[in-house]
Amino acid sequence: MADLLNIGSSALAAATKGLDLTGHNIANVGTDGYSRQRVDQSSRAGSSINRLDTGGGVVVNGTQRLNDALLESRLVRDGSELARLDAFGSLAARADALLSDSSTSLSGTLNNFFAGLQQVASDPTATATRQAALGAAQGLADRFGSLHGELSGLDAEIDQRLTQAVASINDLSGSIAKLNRSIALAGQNLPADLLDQRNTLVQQLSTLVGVSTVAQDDGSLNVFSSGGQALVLGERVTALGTTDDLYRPGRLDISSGGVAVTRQLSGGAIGGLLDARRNLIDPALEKLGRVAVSLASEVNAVQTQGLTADGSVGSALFEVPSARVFAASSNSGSASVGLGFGNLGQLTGDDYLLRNTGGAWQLTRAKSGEVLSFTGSGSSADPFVVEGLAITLSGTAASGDSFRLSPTHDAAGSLRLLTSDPKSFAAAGRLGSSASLANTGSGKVSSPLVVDGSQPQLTAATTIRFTSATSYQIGSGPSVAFAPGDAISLNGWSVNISGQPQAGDQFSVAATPAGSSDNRNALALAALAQRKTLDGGRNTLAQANAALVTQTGATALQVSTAKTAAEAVRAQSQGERDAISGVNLDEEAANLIRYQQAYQAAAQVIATASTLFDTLLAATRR
Amino acid sequence: MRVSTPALFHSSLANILQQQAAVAKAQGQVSSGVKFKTAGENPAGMAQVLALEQALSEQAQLGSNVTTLRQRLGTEEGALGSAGDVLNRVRELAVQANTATISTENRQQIAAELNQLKAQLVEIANTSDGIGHYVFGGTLDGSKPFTEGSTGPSYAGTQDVRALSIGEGRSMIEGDSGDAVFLRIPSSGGGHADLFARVQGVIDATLADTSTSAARSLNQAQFASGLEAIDGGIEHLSTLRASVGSRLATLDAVESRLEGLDTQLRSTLSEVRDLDYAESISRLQLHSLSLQAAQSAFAKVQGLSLFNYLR
Repeated sequence: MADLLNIGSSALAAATKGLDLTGHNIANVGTDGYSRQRVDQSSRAGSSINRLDTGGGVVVNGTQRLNDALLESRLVRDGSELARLDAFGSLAARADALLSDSSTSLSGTLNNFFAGLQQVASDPTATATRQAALGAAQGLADRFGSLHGELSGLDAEIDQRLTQAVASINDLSGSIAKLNRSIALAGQNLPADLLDQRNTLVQQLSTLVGVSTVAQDDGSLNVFSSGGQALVLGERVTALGTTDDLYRPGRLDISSGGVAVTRQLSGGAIGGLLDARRNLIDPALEKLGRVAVSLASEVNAVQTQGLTADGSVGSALFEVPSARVFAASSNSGSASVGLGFGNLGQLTGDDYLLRNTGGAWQLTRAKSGEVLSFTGSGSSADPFVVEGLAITLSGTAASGDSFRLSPTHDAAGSLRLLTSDPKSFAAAGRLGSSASLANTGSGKVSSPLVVDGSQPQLTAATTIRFTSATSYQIGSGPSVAFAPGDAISLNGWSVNISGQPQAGDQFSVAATPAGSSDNRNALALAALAQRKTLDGGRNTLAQANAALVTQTGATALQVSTAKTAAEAVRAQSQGERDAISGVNLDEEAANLIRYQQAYQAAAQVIATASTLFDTLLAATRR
Repeated sequence: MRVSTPALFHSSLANILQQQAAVAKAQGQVSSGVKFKTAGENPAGMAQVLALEQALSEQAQLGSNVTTLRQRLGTEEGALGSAGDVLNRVRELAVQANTATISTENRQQIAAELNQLKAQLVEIANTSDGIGHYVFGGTLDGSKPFTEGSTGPSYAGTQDVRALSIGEGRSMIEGDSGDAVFLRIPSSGGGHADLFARVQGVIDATLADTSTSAARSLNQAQFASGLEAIDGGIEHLSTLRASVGSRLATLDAVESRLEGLDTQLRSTLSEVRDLDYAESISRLQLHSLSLQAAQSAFAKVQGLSLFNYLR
């Protein structure tokens, strides 16, 4: 009977524990990362007196936490990937909208600029058309500036978000270390709720940066970042920090123990932010800058071949953005590097790293690490020439010194219109030709073509006199044989004379007079819209811009597609994890009934034991 | 599979959110009228849109060039016609003056009219397009190209004329320079004689002495060569007119080609970018329906609980 009482009370305790845990499960139905708990109970062996083996009731061993570590780690990994794509995707979508939307994109203003030049060509002396073209040029320069500003803004935002992420990582690492301590102190009886809390923190950590975990014998968990840096070792935390980028002051690197680890980090929001910077924002700025540099250089070159409305030789319309060089802050030598543009058709827009390796210089593409060969000696007379760039060196470099060459990354932001005077458009050609009215032959002279605008005598008035139908002299120079269609070149220009001139016929080449409404150079300026100069003569400016827009869009689409997939994968993992660990209220309701009935029955067992005892007492009282 | 309560809740909610996103996208398309607004929604489509928009911008500019050319060539054609009329009248008057019975008084009246016609010819040579451009000034068309001098009108314009683009790699000259139209006209005897001098020749013949028979026969020879010169001038002008006419005809062809191309580009652009409303609106309705279904399913499923029966 004493046994029965014991059995009853053990059943009562087990049922109470079951009710407690059911209540605990119901209470935590909405708790993230909670794993449902069960009573771990087993039957108790009874006393074996009289060789009659009666059981001894039930014993509660503890709390069972229903959890699969493998599914948890999958969830951590999938959550990390989703967070990466989320961070990448939101920046990609903004960059895409910026480059695509007609109110912020380049294409419309580029078309307007060239349309403005065509208008100047159709009425070169009208101030109104020139004013309109000037407005279009200003609009174009402004648009380059605003696009650069917006994209740089996204870049600055990446830095801000990296700083926030690093702070959050350090907080989370600290909390995990504390939980490690508590869990280790608990010894063998692992506290289920603390394990869940720690899992949740690891999951939160993984949304910031990719992590891997290693469980220790004492129950604590070591956490490493995707780059292999220890974040939490038992109770110890290694905090991450931020430092200035080795080359670009103002841009942040993430450091661990004072060493920059940015390049090694992947996964989570940090991975996404860095991916966005590397695969989207930087390339977009570089390609946009390349269009800016090409546009400014091409327009300026044609400008100098013509005459403005004042009759002066055209000058640069745009300030050609200068290529930037960043010396590593760790450099110990005195070397400095100059960077200029050469053949623009070869310009890639990429950034490069120039490193001194014990006397020799090595050039690599910054984003891929590809080693590039170049020509030249690096002197100003014979610069290193590679991919449309001219690199000059001065001073003495120490071995290991390095420089980041950034030819076009910031170019779009420094493209400026250099004039506010509508007369500045060099619409007229520099030279005109004419035939004497007294000519008797049928000879016709073409418009002079400027071959070399730098010749000092370019605009000197020149007379070509035919001494016979088959020979001419220039000024009082020697007689030169002539056949119809022959080109005549002098002082940097060239003309063709067709038809049949007669002896005594004269043709002259002279500077275009002031006030001319000639439009040859305006046509040449407008024709730049169709000139395929970029990418080795394959793309026009507009096509290069379209490629940039399309590439950015394709990246944005790819990321958004990947994100949709990652959401599905994560939902799947979450479902599988919840199938094991999640609380089901119907199940708990059923358990509630089960344990309630067990409790009632156990109480009945005790009551029965008590009645039996009373019966025995009553029976023995007499 | 065992389904936990939060999982059931999240998956129902996820369905609703997904349908809501689809409804929002379809609604955005219907209200904007385009299938996509950014390259991220359709990179290949956006590449096409950019290329088409640039082509349209270039077409528009070529169209504007055609209009400018037509207006300027039209003005030149009119001026050439008027100059031809003047020369024809000069010819009539020359024939009238070159009759034996005409009185000296009449010849003087004719000479006066001829002088007026010559001045008119100078005026025609200084025709302006109404917005400050002198048609026959070459590339110095901001001021009158012909000024009257002691030796007849002299030309201050250039021999160059502007050209405008009418297609990729194709350009058309806007007009003819004054020297080519009025001065550089080959004479039958070689060399050049300008139109003003040719009219002056007839004026001189009209005012010449015819008192003696010798003078009269000399005068007749003078008229004969004068008329020949005028005929040469008329022929020169009509050749120029034909050339202007053929340029105008080319412009018509270019314009109709541009219009065709424009229509084609626009229809391609519309195909690539514009929305098929019938399709989109039915898609919007479909998504709205799916959303309603998801919402109703959510309410139904969330209402199911064993606790409802525990009283």
